[in-house]
Amino acid sequence: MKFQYLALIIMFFSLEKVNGQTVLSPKVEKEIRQEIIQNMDEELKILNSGGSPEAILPFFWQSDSLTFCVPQGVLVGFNDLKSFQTSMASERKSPPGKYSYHLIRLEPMSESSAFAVGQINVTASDPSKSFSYHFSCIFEKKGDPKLPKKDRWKSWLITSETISIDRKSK
Amino acid sequence: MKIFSLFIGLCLYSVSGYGQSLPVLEEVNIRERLAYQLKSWNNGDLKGFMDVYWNHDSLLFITANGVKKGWKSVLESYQKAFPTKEAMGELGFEYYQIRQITPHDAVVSGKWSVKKISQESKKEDTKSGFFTLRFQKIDKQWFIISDHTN
Repeated sequence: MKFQYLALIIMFFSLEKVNGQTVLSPKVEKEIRQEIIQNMDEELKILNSGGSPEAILPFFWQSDSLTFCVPQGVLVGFNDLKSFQTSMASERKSPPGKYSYHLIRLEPMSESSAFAVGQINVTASDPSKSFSYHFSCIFEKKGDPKLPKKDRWKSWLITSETISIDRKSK
Repeated sequence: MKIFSLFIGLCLYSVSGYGQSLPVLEEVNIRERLAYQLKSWNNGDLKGFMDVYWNHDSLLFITANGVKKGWKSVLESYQKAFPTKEAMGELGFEYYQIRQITPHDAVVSGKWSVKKISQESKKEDTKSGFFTLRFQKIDKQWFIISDHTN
């Protein structure tokens, strides 16, 4: 019976509310941040190993509700993103350069969602072709929930992404 | 037993935000906030337009010019770019998706357009772009806490 009380007390305090919002424990927040950063690092590894725009599709939510907002418009649904990336891949003659990113904000929203804002720099061998863009992403845990701890980053998928090409680099 | 019941009650209260599913009502509330923002802009009321943004240093505004942080900084950039009602023109929104992520977080994707008379050619000129807004429910009211416009 004592154990039941203890479990209930832990449950109550872990769901403490501030302004109607759930506050995550520092441990949970840290885990989410690590998993998202690993997810982004893995995506970048693919891009930097010459991967085509299609090669990063597994990082996106395969749903009709996915949104991908680029200067050309808002793509709604995974199939639209897939067509867009395929068309980008066919237009591309060679990888544009080396990708690197820096995070401006990474904010866990709940145990299964997070918001990330950052800047990607693409450094080309010809400096005049280098460019940068800002991104903002919603990550949600939509993948396999039973993954071992080392692979948990794979359960985070991008459900909404917006990109703006930096004016200075155009 | 009384203590046990009290804890059950407290736990139910603490998880109540997750048990409810009111996406239609929340979508209506978000649409109302955007309609208010649109009306304010088209009346030349920049302050009213800014009321829908979270008045906080954490507000993010991302464009091709970079990232602005904080409500005051966003207001100042709007005031600089749109000093008069004529400069503001007529704003229009078209929504592609409004999706709730958690009981207190939602994301809105859409298209904006501004129609105005060009100072140089004196002809009607329309500019447009796309946006993603992150809304958060703060003290029972939805606010834009991040605006990414391209």
